[in-house]
Amino acid sequence: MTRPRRPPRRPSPAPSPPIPSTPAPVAAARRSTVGKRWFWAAGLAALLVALTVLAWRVGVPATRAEAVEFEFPEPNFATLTEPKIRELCSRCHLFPAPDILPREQWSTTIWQMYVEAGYGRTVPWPLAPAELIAWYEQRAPEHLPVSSAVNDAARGAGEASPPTVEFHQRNVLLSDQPHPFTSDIQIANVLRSDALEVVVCDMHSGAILLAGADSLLGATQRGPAATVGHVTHPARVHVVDLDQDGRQDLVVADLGSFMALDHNLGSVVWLRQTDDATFEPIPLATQLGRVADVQTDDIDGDGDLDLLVAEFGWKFTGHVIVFENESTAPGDVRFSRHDIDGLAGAMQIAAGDFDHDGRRDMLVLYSQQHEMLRYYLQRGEFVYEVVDIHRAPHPAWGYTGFQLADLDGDDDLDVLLTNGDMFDNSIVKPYHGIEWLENQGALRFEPQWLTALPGAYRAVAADVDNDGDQDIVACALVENPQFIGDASRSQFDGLIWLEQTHRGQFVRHAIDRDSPQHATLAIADLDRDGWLELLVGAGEFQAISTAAAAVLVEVWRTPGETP
Amino acid sequence: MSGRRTRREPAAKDKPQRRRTLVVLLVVLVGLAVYSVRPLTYQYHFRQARRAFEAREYAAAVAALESAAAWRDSAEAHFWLARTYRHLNRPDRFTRHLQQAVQRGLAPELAEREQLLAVVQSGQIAMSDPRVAPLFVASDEDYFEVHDAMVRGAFETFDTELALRLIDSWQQGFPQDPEPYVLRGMYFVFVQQWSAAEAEFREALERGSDRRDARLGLAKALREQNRFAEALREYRQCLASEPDADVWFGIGECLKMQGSLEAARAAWERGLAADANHYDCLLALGELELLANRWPAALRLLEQAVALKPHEFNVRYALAKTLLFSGSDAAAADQFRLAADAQQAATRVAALSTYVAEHPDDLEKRFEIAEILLSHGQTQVGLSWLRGILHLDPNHAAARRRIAEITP
Repeated sequence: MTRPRRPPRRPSPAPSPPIPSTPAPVAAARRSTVGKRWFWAAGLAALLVALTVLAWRVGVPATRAEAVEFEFPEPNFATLTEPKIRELCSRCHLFPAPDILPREQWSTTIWQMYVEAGYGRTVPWPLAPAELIAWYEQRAPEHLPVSSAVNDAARGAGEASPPTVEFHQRNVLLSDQPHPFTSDIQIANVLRSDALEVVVCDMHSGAILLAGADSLLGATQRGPAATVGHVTHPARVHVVDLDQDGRQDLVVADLGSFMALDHNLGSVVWLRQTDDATFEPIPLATQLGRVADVQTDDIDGDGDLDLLVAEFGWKFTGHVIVFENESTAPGDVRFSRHDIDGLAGAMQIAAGDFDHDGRRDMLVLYSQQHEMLRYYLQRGEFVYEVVDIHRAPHPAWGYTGFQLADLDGDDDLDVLLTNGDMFDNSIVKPYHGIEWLENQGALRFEPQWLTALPGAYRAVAADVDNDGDQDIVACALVENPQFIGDASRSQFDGLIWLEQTHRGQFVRHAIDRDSPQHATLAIADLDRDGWLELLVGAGEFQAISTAAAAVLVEVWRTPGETP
Repeated sequence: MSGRRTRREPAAKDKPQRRRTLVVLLVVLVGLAVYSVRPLTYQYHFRQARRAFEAREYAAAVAALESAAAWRDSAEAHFWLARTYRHLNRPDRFTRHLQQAVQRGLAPELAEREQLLAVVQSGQIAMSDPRVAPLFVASDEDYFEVHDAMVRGAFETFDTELALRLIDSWQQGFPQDPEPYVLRGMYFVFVQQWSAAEAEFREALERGSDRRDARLGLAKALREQNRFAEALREYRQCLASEPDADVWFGIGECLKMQGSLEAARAAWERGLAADANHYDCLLALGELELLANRWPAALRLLEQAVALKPHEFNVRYALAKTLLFSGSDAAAADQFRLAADAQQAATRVAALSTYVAEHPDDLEKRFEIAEILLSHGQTQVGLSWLRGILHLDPNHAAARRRIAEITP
């Protein structure tokens, strides 16, 4: 076989580029015509494409491209272990066991704490909140065993022994303000007349009201009260002759806001009684956090009255403060501030020489995450040794107040305590109630549980049945029923008394069974007939009614008394 | 050689001819391009706008419609701009574009109908008004518009019972339409029932996966349930379609709750780059600066946010805390007072709203809500409550008087 002959190659003047697919002269000729054509065609096409793209792109936001560039970091949390949980959840308070809250509440609670910890910035938070929540939810009960069971059990205890005294609601003190909320009641001889007066704080309107006992006990059954002062939102009032001029004054602890907030609107206001029995408002301390309580005492022993202030604050505000009286003459009102402690949640304060060393000390009840009673024992001028005498078992306990009283008649001061705060999560808790700390000397106290009372807000020791020992009257504040799920508020007692039958032994009796709307109470023999009257504050935080004449104070009396 | 010459001769003759042909072709093509680029581009933008409108991406719809109008200033483009602005609750722009549409030849009855829908949507007339009934005689497309306006009008006047009834009937009539699910989801967002809202938005997305409002709603519902990783997935999908300040804000919130504060900061800064006056991003960044003890930066951001929403509790409170920490006690006290007042008002309104939901005929409580809102600068919402009262009782004198005082 012979191979077909190739056409002879045209000699080229210069070395041609290797392997041209078309003979060079033809390619050159085509480049001259086709190349131009393609050039124009390509140019036109490019122009069209550019025009179209330009038109299409009009109005497309430039930020779209940026989205792709954003870096999404993965959460950086450690693996969950029980020791780590216990360590994390004990940093700011006692470790809360999972069974103190119902399952569904843990999510809200833990996320809230995570936020308050600055998302791990202000308080290191090594665990993923969602995993921590799951750990708690797995171990928490679906519901807390409250509803009526707690009260029924407690009521049952009382039924075994009929009460020796029965109370009937007789009189009411009305407010001319819509939905009042009575935060404090004091009974004292303010105007130096023959009769006692009742001082009432309406936390909602800010009014400080004064009513004669007669108007509460008189034949009219109902009586108005006179407004003697006004602060923003009074929490407590203290009756005292502050300037020692022979006239009783009022010193008011002003929260500064109705709802809980960190702010500097709180204050202490002195309502100074003048010659004509009117009251001149004089701010003694301003730009404080929420002031929950104020008392007066000659804490430095220099002969004048100083102010002891429980500045509750809220989350990052709050102190125990002593304002030292440096006034030198009537009209010269001067107090200098001494910060004693910087914890939030100081809700009540009392003074006394608790360690019997001749110096005045302070006792402060803390709620919030602390839930404890703390002594401030004075060791030098405004120098205090701190001794915690009692701490609740967990941070959801909800202390609401205390009273110093010799409950067991052994000539020392015991502490009567209530825990029933529902403003943290509006849940009725089975561990709300009343306890007392039996003073065993040497700054030691033995806690004794008395009775369960959902929403327990105030307990006062008094000899209710005139048998010579101290009984206890207590009231409860359960928030609006819409916030407590299927548990009807009427299931819970609003006012009870615990009859001391033997030394340190108490039997419960209900007085008001279906309206737990009482944040405070006071007890006195208003008509001086030898039997005590109970004055109970009324009010709701979320009251819907705007009735012009709402109840401010209820008066409960025994049946033997004159109506 | 000769053969080659013979072959090349016609080519040499054709060359000028071909060149002429090419030039003619080129001229024709350029002419065609010039002639068609305007209508084609207009159509393209208009179709994009309709697609965005159907996906309820109103901001994108406005952008596309404005682009379309730039290519052809048509009655159609202005009509849809008006309709989109109606959905965006921008009455000034709605009116302007509707007028422009009429000037460019929109049928007056269409303009009147659109105007009536705006009135219905704002809750200014009751459903029993005789002008409402003719709206129901509508094409499918308008059926959705009419129902949408009525549902929104009912929500606007806090007649949730009617709104939910309308949504139910809409859903029964058009079970594959995502819109009723989105609307019900928005209702659950309003009443803060997040898991119910999540379910509705998921249903909506099953019927229309391009519904950005449903995806944003779903992301928010997940975020409010503290399911941040899931929420972030949804927000990232929104980023792919249209990254606006709302999306960046949501992303920042999720990242913050996951402990990634610097990434959160970056997201909120992106949000402010997209919208320098985005209230939520300003507040979030201000609070972050507060947490980091950078008072001047916090003050700058929070003061800007306060100017946007002077009656909001959160921003007043954050500003007050910043002033307190930076040593301006007196200024802080002023802000705390305003914050506490706003908080108390909001608490009262919340309690009353819960009560009204259970007692819808209690007009006096409705009136109290309106008064509180009006006294705290929330004029539009207060006005809506007042209009709701008139829907229930057209003779309510106090509501009539207050509306007359507020509206010129």
